[in-house]
Parts: sequence; C-alpha cells; structure tokens
Amino acid sequence: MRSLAEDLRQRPEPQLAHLLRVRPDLARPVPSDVSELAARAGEITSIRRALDQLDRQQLQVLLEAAAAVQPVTLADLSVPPEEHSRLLEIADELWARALFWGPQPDSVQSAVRIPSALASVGIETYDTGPLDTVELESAPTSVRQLDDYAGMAAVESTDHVTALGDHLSANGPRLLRTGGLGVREFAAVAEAMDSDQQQVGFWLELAIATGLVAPDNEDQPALVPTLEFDAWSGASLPDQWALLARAWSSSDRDSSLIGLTAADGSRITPASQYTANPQLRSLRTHVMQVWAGVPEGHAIELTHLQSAIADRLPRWNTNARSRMVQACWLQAEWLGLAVAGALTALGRQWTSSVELSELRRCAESVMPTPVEQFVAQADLTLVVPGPPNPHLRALLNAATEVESRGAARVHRVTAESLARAMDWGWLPADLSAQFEQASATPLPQPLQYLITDVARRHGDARIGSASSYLRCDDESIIADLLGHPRAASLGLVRLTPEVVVSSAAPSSLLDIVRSLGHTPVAEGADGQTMVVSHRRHRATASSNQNAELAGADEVLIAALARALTRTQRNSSSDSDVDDSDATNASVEVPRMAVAASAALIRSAQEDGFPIWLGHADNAGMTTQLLVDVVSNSGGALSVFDHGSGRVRTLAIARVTGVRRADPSEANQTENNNG
Amino acid sequence: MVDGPLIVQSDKTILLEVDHELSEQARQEIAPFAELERAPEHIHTYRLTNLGLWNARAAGHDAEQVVDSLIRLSRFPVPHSLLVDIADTMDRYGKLQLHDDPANGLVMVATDLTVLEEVLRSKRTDGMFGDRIDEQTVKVFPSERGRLKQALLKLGWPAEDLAGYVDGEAHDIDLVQDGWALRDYQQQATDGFWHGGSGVVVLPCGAGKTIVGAAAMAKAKATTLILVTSTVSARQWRDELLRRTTLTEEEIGEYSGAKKEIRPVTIATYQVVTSKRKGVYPHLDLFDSRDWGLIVYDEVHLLPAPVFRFTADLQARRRLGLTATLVREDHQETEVFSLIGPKRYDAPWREIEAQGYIAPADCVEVRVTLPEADRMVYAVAEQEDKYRLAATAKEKISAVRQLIDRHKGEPTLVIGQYLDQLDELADQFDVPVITGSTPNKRRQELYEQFRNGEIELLVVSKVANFSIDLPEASIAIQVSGSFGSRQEEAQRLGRILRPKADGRSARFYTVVVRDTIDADYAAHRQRFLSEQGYAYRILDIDDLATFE
Repeated sequence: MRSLAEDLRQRPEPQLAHLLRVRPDLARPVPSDVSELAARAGEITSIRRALDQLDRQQLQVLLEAAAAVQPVTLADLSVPPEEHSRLLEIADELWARALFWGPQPDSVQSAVRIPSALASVGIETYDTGPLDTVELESAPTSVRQLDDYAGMAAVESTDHVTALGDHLSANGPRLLRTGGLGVREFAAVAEAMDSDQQQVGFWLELAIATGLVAPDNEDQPALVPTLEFDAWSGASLPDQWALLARAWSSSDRDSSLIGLTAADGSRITPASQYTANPQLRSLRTHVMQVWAGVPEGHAIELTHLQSAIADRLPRWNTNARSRMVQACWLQAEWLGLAVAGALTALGRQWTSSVELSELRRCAESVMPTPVEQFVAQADLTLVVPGPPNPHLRALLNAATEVESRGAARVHRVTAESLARAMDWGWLPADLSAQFEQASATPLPQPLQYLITDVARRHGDARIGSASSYLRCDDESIIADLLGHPRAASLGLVRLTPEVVVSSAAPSSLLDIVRSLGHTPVAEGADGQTMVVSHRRHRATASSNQNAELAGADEVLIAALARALTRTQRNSSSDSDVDDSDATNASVEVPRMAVAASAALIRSAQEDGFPIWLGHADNAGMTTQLLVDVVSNSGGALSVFDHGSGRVRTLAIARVTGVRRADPSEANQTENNNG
Repeated sequence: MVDGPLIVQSDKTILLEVDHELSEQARQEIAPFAELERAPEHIHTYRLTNLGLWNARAAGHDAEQVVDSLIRLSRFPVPHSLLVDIADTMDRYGKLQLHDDPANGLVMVATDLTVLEEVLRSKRTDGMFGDRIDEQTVKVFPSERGRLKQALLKLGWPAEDLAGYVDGEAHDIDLVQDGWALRDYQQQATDGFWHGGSGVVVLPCGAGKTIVGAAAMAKAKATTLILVTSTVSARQWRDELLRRTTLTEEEIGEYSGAKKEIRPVTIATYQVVTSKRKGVYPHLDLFDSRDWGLIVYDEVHLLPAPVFRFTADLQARRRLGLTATLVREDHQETEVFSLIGPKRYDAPWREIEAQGYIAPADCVEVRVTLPEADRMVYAVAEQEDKYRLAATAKEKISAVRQLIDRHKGEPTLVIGQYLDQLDELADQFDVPVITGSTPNKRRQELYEQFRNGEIELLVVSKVANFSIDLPEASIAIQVSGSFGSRQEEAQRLGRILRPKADGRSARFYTVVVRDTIDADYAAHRQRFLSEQGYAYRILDIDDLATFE
C-alpha cells in the first residue's frame, strides 16, 4: 500500500463512517472525494485534534511507533507479550482514526505506518505506565436512599429553572451589545435567586440550551423566557426534567467559564458567545462514561474522576480540563444524575440513553409523589410537603409567592399575590373554594378576610385601551353614531353619556362621523388616552441549534461515508470520468418553491434516497443532476453527483426543483460510469 | 423514606411539623444550631445560619452530630450539598483561638497557618496584632479583643475566645428561694449562659427574665452592673432583687438621671450612660468605676449604638443580655451577637405558655371604617401625615368604648402612641393617663392602684412598653403604635401575658382603620405575632355583639 489515500479508498463504508465520527473535523467542509479526505486526515491541524482525543495508552503506543523506522511491526514495540492483546486493540483504534495506516492490523505481526505529518507534530512524552486499564477506586456510597436523593434533586432542578424563568419574565435583564448579560445584571439575577453565581450561571445556560430562555427581538435585546418556557412550565415534573437532562447532554455551553476573563479582557457572563466550548460535549461524555463504569451503588471521589479523565484526555490543558470535570461533577449532582460521587438511577438512564420518553419514565420512578394539599397557617403561609400536583401548582403560582423551595415549599399569600390571581381571571369565590379544598387544615380566618379585602378593592379603577375617543355635549350625536350600521366596525364603547371610545384609528372615526353629516374636529395628541396593553414579555422564536447540530451529525456522517465510498469506486475504475455535468435531458424536474425543494432535500438526506435536482449553472442553463444529498447548511448543498462521481457543493439558491429518483436510476448511472 | 418531623430545605430552612410525635425530640436536637424563625400553629421554621452553626460549635456540638440529627429526623433526604456546607462552615470555627498566655498576655493561636496569614493580611485587623511569637501565635492588644472578634467574624473565621474572664470584685450574692423556686427553663437559661461565659437569653415577657438575671448574679458572686431601659424599670429590678436574693438595700445603687449611686450592684439606665455633653460621654466612667464581675443588659434588643462601642472594650467581663426578642428594627442582631455574645437560651413563647407560666393570649384585630368625608381627607393627605390621621381616627374611640363595656370588671390597659389621642381617651372615660411626662412618683402610685384593683382602666403611652410589671392586666387595647414595629407589638402583648391569679386568658385587641396604612402596619405586626404562635382573629366592630 502506497499511501493513506490508498488505504482509505479500500475501507468499506462503515469504517469510513466511523472515521468521520471520531474525527468530525474531516467532514467539515465536505471533502469531494477520498483523496481529499486522506489529504485532510494527514494535515497537522487535524492530526493535533485527533491526538487530543486519545487517551494516555493510545498516545504512548503512537509515540513509540512514530519514533521507529517505518513501517513498524507492532511486536517490535516495547510492550510485554502479556499485554499484546491490549496492544492490538489500541493499534486497531489508532488505525480506525487514520493515525496508523496500511493493512488493518490483525495480529502483533502486522506492520503499520504513521501519517508523515505526525513526525513533525512533536508529541510530548507521557509516563509509560503499564497498558492495562487503571482501576478506578470506588467505595460503596455512604449515601442511603440514593434514588430518593436523585428524585429530590430532579424536582429541585425544575424548580430552579422555573424560578429563573419567572424572574427573567418579570425583570428581563438587558444583554450587552456583544451578547451576554452584564456583570451587574448577572449578579442581580444570582442575588434574586438566592444562590451562588456558579449555580445560577449553570441554570441560565441550561435554560438557554433547552430553548426556554432566549434574547428577545428588541433593539436592545433582553434575556427573557420563550414561548417554549410557557409550554414547559405546564408540563409534568418528569417531563420538565427530561427536557433539561437531554439538553444537558448536547449543550456546549460551558457555565464553568463564567467569571473568568475572556480573550478580549472582559469578564465572561452567561448567554455570551464565550461560554460556547466545543470541547465540552466530548469531556462530558468521557466523565459520564467513567461514572457508568463504576459498580452500581459505589461512589468515586472527585480527585479519582479527575485522574481518570486525565488518563483519557492527557493532551488537554490541565487547568481547563480539571475545571470542566469539576463543573461536570457538580452539574450532574444538581440534575440528580449523581450524588456524592455515586451515579443514581437517573444518571444510569442518562448514560444509556437520553431518549425523552425513557428519561421521563425514569424520573417518574424516582421523583417524590406529587401532593395535592397544603397546610395553611395564621401567618398566611402555606406549606406544601412535597412537589405540588399540577392543579395545586396552578393555584399556588397564581395566588401566592414562593418563600422557600426544596423538598417542601413554603408559599405566602399576600394582598399583591391575590390581586394578581384576580388579574389573571380567578374569581374571589373560586380562590376561597380552591384554598379551602386544598388545605389539609381549616383555613385561618385572616386568610379568608384577606381574600375578601382584596376582592373588595380589586378593580376599583378600570383601565382599558382605545385608539380614539369622541366627546360631545350633544348626546344625540352619540346616539346617532352608536345606532348607525356603518359605525359597527369602529368598536364603539360608551363610557359616559358624553364620551365614547373606539378601537379604530382617530382618522377612521373622524371620517365616519363626518360622513354621518356632523362636523367633528380631531384633538391633539396630548389628550389622547393610550393605554399600553399589558402583555407578558416573550421572545418569539427560539431554536435549539446545538441539539440540531448534534442530531444532524449522524445523518451527515452516514451520507458522506456513502458518498465517499462511491467516489472511491469511481476513481478506482480506470474509465475516464466526464468532468462536465452529467445531464439527462429526458428527465423532467419540476420547478418548485424553495421551501418545497428544501423539504424534499432534507428528507432525501435523512432517509438516504437519491434525487434529481434541477440546477441553474453560471450561464443560466438548467441542468438535471442525479445526486445523493450529503449535507445542507448555510445555503450550501453538498451532494454526491452520480454523473461525475464526485462530491460537489452547490448553492441552494441555484436549485430550481427536486424530484425523487428511483434507486435503480442511480445504479444505472453508476454502471454507465463504471 | 423515614417519616420524620423535619423537612430540610436547600435554602437552609428547616421545617418542623409540630404535631409529629417526634417533634419535641427534633426541637431539642436542632435548637442548638438552628435559629427559630417562625412558630405558627402547625409548622415551625428554623434557619441554619453560620452564626448558629458556630454557636453550636462553641457549645461543644460537632458537625457529625448536626448532620446525624438532620438525616435521622428528616422526612425527605437532606440535600447533600447542604450537609457538606454544614461541615465546612462548622470547621471554620476554632481555627483561631484567643488565649491568655502566661508570658505574653493575650495571644491568638492558629491551627491553620493559611487562615492565620489571611487574617493577618486583612485590612479589617489592622493595628490589632502585636508581634508574631512563633509560626502559629501572634500577640493581640488586649484592648482590641472585642473588635478583633468582630473583625474575625466578618472575615468568616470566628475565633474561639478561651482567654477567659476577670473574676471581678467578689461580692456574695445568693438566691433566697423561700416560697418560690427557679423554674426549669430559668435554671437552663442560667446554666446555658454560665457555661457559655457570655451571651443572650431570650425569654418571653412574663417568663421571669429578672430572675434569670438574679440567678446569674448568684453564680458570679461578684459586683454587677445592670443596664436597663428606664428609671421605673430600674426600681422594679431593685425590688425584685431585694425579694429574690440576699442583697440588701444598701448594696444596690441606682445610677439614673435622678441619683448617681455606685454600689456593689448598680442599676443604670441606658439614657444616662449614653447622655452626651460637649461631645463626650460624662458617665462613661461608670464602666470603670468598679471592678465589675458581671454586666447585665436588660432588653438587649434596645441597646443604643454607643453602648455597643463601650461594650467592645469590656470583653474580659462576663456579659448577660436579656430580651424577649432578638428582632431589632435596626437589623443590628449581629452586633449583639459579636459583642454581648451568642444566644445561650431561647424558648418559644407557646411552650412556656403551655407549661402554665405565662397566660395564654387571644389576639383580635378590630376593624373600624372611616366615614366617607374622612376618607377623602385621608386620601388627599400628605404621605407622612397619613398614619397619624388613620391611627387617631375618631371612630376608634367609640370602638374602644364598646370593648371596654364588654370587658367591664376586667383590668384593662389602653395603649397608644399619640398623646392627644390618649388624653382624649382619658377624658372620655374619665381615667388616669400615664405618659412620658407623668412624674415617676405618680406613675408608681397609679401602677400600684392598678395592681391592687383600685382602678381597672389605665390609658398608657409607649412608656409602658417595657419592663412594667402589671400582672393583673388581662385586656390590652392598642389604638395606635409606632408604625409597624414588631418588637413593640411583642412588648405590648407581653404586658398582659403574666399568669393571672384565676387562670383567665388574656386578650389583645388592636383597633385599626380598614383600607388605610394603619391596617397595613397592623398586618405587619400581626405577621410577627402569628410567627410567634399567636393566631389572631379579625373582627368588624359592627359584629362585636356576635363575637365570642
């Protein structure tokens, strides 16, 4: 075998897919064929990235191989014979990552080569310990009722996010021009949450990653809950938790960076661009894998976890790595995935699958049973000894303030909270009845009085909105107007005998009154009653980009691996490939709207069927291409073009239409080429 | 899951279910380290504070015990991070110790060198330390002992003060327990104080704080300075000491506006101590006039700011603070903690009431309505006049009359803030009034007449808030107060909590004008009462006839 490219050309599709999975930078941008893939895999930058993902033993083997004369027979490395099977595993993994090339190693007699650029990278040396896996120290956890803890923590995690959302809803802290909360704004949020910045920063970033909180679309954006937050708030606690836990699995927002200094000298705060950390997902996966390997009911210590991760990711910056590991450890505890170093049932579920339904089922089994009653006391507090059921939660959210959260909740009824409930449409009688029903003890008399008092005062002044008004001493004019069919569209409301207001603009009102034969005049703006309707502050759109990105990877990898295998098949045949677009005049591709094309392209990518694509070239000529979609993002569409046998990148704006192709058509084209 | 009486919240509050069979045990176990915040009828709220945890460490409890109690008695798992936090916090206490070194005098010894470096470098401790003796030990200027402790507390490394106290000039004092005996809780309070060295005892009004003071003096057997709020209260202290101890009249001096006696036991008023002439405190010498072995601060929650400063210099003397409430309207609770000492004993009112030592009380808010015309006057009044307008509404007088009629024959106090209003009430009902301008002699006479039943109705201003012993008063009608002051409410309620000879329960009426700031303030005060375990009811004055 002469080169890495030749090696890669011979690898079957699953192996290429694996390579793209473990070295994702190779897939972006999409390589046009295997030669380009091989070239990229041999570049220093890409090799460095690949090295960062190696553990200590893999590095050790690679290092020794790199220092030897090429090719290297595995058995010649200084590994004692009893560890040869482990050596072979490592060599196979290095080969899969294209850090070794040549025939796939199948015994220690196999010879391998390293990419030539690797020699110049300069790998630091690592202590050459034995190759057998380091035993992670663990001890039976001292924490009893591990899963009860998990359930409590899970409930609390939803509580924290709820409280945070409510706070942002009421305050909507402004974001800096550069994105991110101001240092002071963030401190205020943390203070309002009565928690330290590290934890509040985490919940904020998690809420952003879950799509529950986002900047609104104002000129000076503020950080507010999204519409999804409202939906999330209404969901059951297990559902709420499942969404948070899943978002944590794919989030690359590194809250442990908060408070550190960014490259530009500013302090890093939540929601800023600096909290995105591409390494985080990989690290989190490693941490949770280590934990998953600990026997059930056993706990590890943070220092042990740190050294296990150091063993797995030795090339990472030590400070950054240990900071992230520690943050990960804490966050897992906050989410209920781990307690005092031991993985809980929730954590085990999380490490095996973050499917929403499974997470929810698991959360349901460990969360405390929701309660439906509270204990009411004379100091106007209501104590709920557990998480309230949705019905009770709705009542308490509307009519009380939360005073203490945790295993139990303490709510306080105040005149303001009752007035708010009435604003939201609760009737005083309903409130009394619901309180009565939900109370495990007789309602204290002062509470009853408070409801009556607030009800008596509620609505003593009335506020509404109107766009225009008409005032007139002659009541007959008003009577005329109110009775006239043409005035029906004006939305007239008579406030007093001499005043009506209208929901129509002053000019419309003026026109219609004038058309009725009267001679109205407009009044200046200073007299105009404009009442801003109170709408709660919400961001309109939010998309969980990270989740999408993470989800798209697999699709991209599969499509790309398939496409690359095909390019390799084409180039290995000796026939001349026509470089011009393979057009097929007999194929009709309908002209379509962009949205319709995009939808079909997307499903072609996900389900892996070929399509005919109408494409307008530089000369304005429309050609038809038979393609497999590889990736589609940012206006660029990467496809494997069956006609030319290459991966090409097209501008999505040039696509005139799409038609689903029969797989047999694709095979036929390939055969023609072959 | 254990079905314990506690729920430990992650925000460091602890909820205690009162009706649970283990609630008494739980209360006793958590009382040393958690502060009782609220004690309404069903669920009491305690709070874990750094002060409380250090307090527990000072009393010999360790983190393991605290954690064990919480885990064992909790209904739900205790948040793990909270347990870790408790252990960490408790561990901070005692890393620094103050000792009386035979060779070097007052020194600070550190068991943790990094902590020592941290506090030595802090600006807060500037000028408090002398030479470094060895790696772990540094000299402390004796005059800075109090301020150093304050500073270390603020730095989060509270020092364990093992430097001891001066004995003071010995003076033989004993309790004379003839026909009465120290109650259990009084004994516990005294012991708690004595073992702690210095600190505060919290007991409800009527629970016998003076007796705890006397018992502490009998333990110290040394000359004692007692600081009280007023001359009347000073005389009550003197009478009580004469009755309960071996002290004779010649041994007790009064240091007030009227007299300046300094004797083995001297009772001084805060007012005279803090009176200032030409920028200096002429009576400051009082603290140095004798070698006091004990200083007692009565009503410690009212301690004026200058007294804190004098107290910082008195750290070598035993200090006992007495109060019914640690709540200070000026939020200076931590000053009390660091300068007088930590809380050494606290019992919720309800429990002492349940033991029959204080009378049960029934609190009622009586609502009156302003007539339409007055509502308009109120609505357009300046903000600062609104409370006075509402508090002195004419409608209150007729309400008070109806209440008095209803309780004819029962000793009744009418308490108010505004002198005009009090005078008018006194005129209307033709009864005597006691205000700040009433001479002490006249006050004593009237109190005496009230006590022996010659008069059954007395109108009093805020002078009667504190330390007046009117055991037979069973009805209090509050017509106006100093805004929303919680401690005033507690004190006024305390006036009627002394056990009655016939076991009657006391009743506390507050007359308020509905829909005004008066009612808002009342709500604030009542929240405090209900947090103390006094459920209150609301009564519309028009419904008085059907009210029980």
